[in-house]
Amino acid sequence: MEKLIEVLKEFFKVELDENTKLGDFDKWDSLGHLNLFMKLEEVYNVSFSIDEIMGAKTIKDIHQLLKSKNV
Amino acid sequence: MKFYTLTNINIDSLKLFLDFEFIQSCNYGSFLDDLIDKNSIIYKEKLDIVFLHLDFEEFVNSNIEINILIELLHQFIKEFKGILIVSNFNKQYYSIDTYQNILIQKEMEYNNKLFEFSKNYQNVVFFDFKSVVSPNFYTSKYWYLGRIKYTNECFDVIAKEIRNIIKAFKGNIKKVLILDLDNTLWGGVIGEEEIKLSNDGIGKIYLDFQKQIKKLKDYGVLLTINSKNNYEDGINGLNHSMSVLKEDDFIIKKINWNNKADNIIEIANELNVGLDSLVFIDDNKIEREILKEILPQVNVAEFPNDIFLLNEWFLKEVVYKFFPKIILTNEDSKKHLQYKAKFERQKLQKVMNYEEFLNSLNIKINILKDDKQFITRYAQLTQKTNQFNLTTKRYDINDIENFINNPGFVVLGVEYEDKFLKEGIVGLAILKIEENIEIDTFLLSCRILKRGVEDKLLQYIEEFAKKLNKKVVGYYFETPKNIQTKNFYVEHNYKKINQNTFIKGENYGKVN
Repeated sequence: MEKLIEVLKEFFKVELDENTKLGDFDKWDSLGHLNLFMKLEEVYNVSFSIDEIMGAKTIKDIHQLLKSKNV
Repeated sequence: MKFYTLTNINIDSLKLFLDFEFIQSCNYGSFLDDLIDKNSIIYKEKLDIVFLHLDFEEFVNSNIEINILIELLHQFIKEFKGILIVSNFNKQYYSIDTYQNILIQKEMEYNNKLFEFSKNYQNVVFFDFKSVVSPNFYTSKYWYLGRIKYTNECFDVIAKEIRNIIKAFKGNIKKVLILDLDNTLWGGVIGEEEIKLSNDGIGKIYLDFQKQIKKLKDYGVLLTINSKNNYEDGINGLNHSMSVLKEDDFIIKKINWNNKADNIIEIANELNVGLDSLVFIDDNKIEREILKEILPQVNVAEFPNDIFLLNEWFLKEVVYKFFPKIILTNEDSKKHLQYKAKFERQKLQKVMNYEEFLNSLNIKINILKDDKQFITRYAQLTQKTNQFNLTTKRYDINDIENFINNPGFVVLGVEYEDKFLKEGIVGLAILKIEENIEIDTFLLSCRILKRGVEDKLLQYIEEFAKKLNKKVVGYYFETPKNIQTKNFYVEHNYKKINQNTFIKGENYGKVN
């Protein structure tokens, strides 16, 4: 979880915690959401389906999703 | 900094990579409307940067005429005070279009036109997007998910280049490069072993590195040395038969065993520049770390771990990062030199009176008659010269060639050189030989005004007329830009016949 938060912090360059979610700040809008998943695919070397990307809206969700992919 | 994108695809993701105030476009297809409508954001808001970035495939499909785009850009830039960054088009390699060749040709044509446009303005920068593109810049997944055509990696590169461009315009320009010697300018340790500096193998890496540094020097960057060696050894290294950089290339040489930070402070003091305008290159990590600690204002470039990357690193991380103005703006190297030479001239000008100053320049003027090798330059002069241009007649290459071939015309070019610089062709006169010698065109580039060149050219024309027993007729047509030449003929003792016509000839020749 810590590492994930670090990745997001670095990507969006804002302070956040595990409860932060899509829409909480300007940069994490629906477009930023896609760029974030591009970044996650690159960092964790995994691929997400459309449903997964659209379904994971909080950092917790993303954490769960990564776990399900054995990351 | 207010940033606006003119684009036909969604590149709003850039805001994740750039810390600018993004002025939102209405929608990403609206670039044409923005350019056409004089009440649009780009005309009304005081924007600092406008980034034009068009996707080739989308552009082709939209059937917009490239010439219309270029015309709109000319119209826009005349009123725009910020920086306009123009990306070139990148056609994707794989496509199923039947007319592959036509697309390739189109891409080249479009890019040529954008480039030609960019060259004309000081506040327009051409961003060679096509050359930085790599296959992993495009994503089809996110294209279908959210019409994002590019990957983060691509946005990252675009953002970096935009930052470099802005730095080139607004940033504190670095002036001085401080270099270590051993394992930096050559391989190995001088005085202890045969140094590596040659045309092959590892030695070539250093040779190429020196060549690049030499280029920076030619652009006006000051080179200095800060190295721990015996002075004689260091100088021996620079005198190495393969060394591109010679002793004289360095304005200050601190080759001693002192602490490098002390040397750097001395360099800054001697050159009278701030520490923040210094860039330090040293292969030794410890030296770099110490310096960062003691003098954090100095720009310390990280040296590559892999020596094969030296030259690539130097371009990307040193030249483009610290000295971007040189590469990215429209001030080409020659111009840079010209400005530098001009600066020297002004310095000279201050301590002497003007006459003395002119004499000290050792001006050489050469007048070329009907010389075809400069046709392009002549045409360019008629197109571009506005201020010292008495008739402002615009001619193209064919016109000039016809004048030269036609015995009824004489084309005179003026070549100028002084002790600082060879300026090349700086003036042009076109004479029409009839009953009188009529001066159809008389112009000079502004760079060499007030050097007596105009007098020499006119004198040449008068002597030419004298030989033919003809009078000289000059014309002046006023434009908003050439007012300063209004009294040119009168000052040269021509008689004003009417508003536009002046004549000289009483003193010689037969008057009809």
